[in-house]
Amino acid sequence: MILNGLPHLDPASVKFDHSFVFDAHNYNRKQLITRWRGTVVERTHLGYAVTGWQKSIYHFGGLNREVPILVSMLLDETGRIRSLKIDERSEGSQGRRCDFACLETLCGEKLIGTPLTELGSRVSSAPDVKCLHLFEILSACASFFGTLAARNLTEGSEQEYIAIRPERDGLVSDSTHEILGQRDQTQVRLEYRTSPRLGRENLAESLDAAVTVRYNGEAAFAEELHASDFESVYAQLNRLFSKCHHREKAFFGLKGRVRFFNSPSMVGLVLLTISHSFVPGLVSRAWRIEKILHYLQTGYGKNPCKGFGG
Amino acid sequence: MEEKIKEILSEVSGVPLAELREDTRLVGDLGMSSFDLADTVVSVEESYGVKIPDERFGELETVADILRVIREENAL
Repeated sequence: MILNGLPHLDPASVKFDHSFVFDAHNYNRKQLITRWRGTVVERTHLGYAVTGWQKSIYHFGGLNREVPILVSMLLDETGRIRSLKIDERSEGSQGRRCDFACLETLCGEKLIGTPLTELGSRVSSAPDVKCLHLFEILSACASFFGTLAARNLTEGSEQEYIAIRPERDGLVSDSTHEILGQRDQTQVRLEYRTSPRLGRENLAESLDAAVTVRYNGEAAFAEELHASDFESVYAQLNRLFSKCHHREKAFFGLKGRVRFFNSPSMVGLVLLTISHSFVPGLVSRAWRIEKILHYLQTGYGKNPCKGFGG
Repeated sequence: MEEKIKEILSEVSGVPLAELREDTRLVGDLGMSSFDLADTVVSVEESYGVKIPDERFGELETVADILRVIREENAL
């Protein structure tokens, strides 16, 4: 399947065949980043089957990488986790360092017996499960399951697709989110007034740009971003995507802490795209981008990954 | 204002309002990420029409810090 937009999803088939995630590809190299994420909850005769996935596809110069991860859980009637499996075809962004057999054992020991809606009490941040992607998927599952319960629903699905591409003087991110059959679209266009200055680890340490946001095809808001250090760049991008997140939550009638959104990841993905546009070197570009990926997942001065075997 | 700020924090963090105190730590106690913090700041700014400068994000460690920074920046 070519992944060039939010695909048609058949929730009834998800728990039987996970290939839909691993067989989805995007060969459009103008899209530097594609991310498809989703959650399906189904009622079973013993309780619930919950499937969560995230597939990221990166095209950064010589770095072409697919990162598909799928987690399936069975819950009892009360919503307590009975089993947790990570599909053996899953791959992390750190290659061999991502040992999902070990991560599955770790997550199982930590989470089996825990009500899914109380996942946050056992897993509050990525280090708790040693993997950022896994943390995002599990948090999304718990949050969506809680949302269904709050609406007295026992089944449902949500999925989200984002694509980020560079433009001549900026970048564009397009995202589509479908929750319980309702769909919205957000487009963020960032136009550089002056070229961002890259600093340590080749991350943007300045930003002077005009931003326009379209929501469901209509102009939503426009603003200027001015930042002169990395912390400020990060804060301003966080603010920007938080505003988009607010619109989405209002559109879908969601309240509280909802984790089945890519919004928190958007800052890192946009930073990667900015770096790609301005990082020097051709041959070494993929290597530099990979280092930025490591940083965004772990921070300065830490090991490249919190997984096993590295 | 204090009650409204706590309502926003409760909404963003998912922690019940009754559990929030002035010395509650945003990261350590509420498990808030940098995105959650920005989410809180944007909500506060939209609710009060005030502005919290980016350079003061680093000071926001507790509920009391948010209240203090808003008061200092906006003379409320």
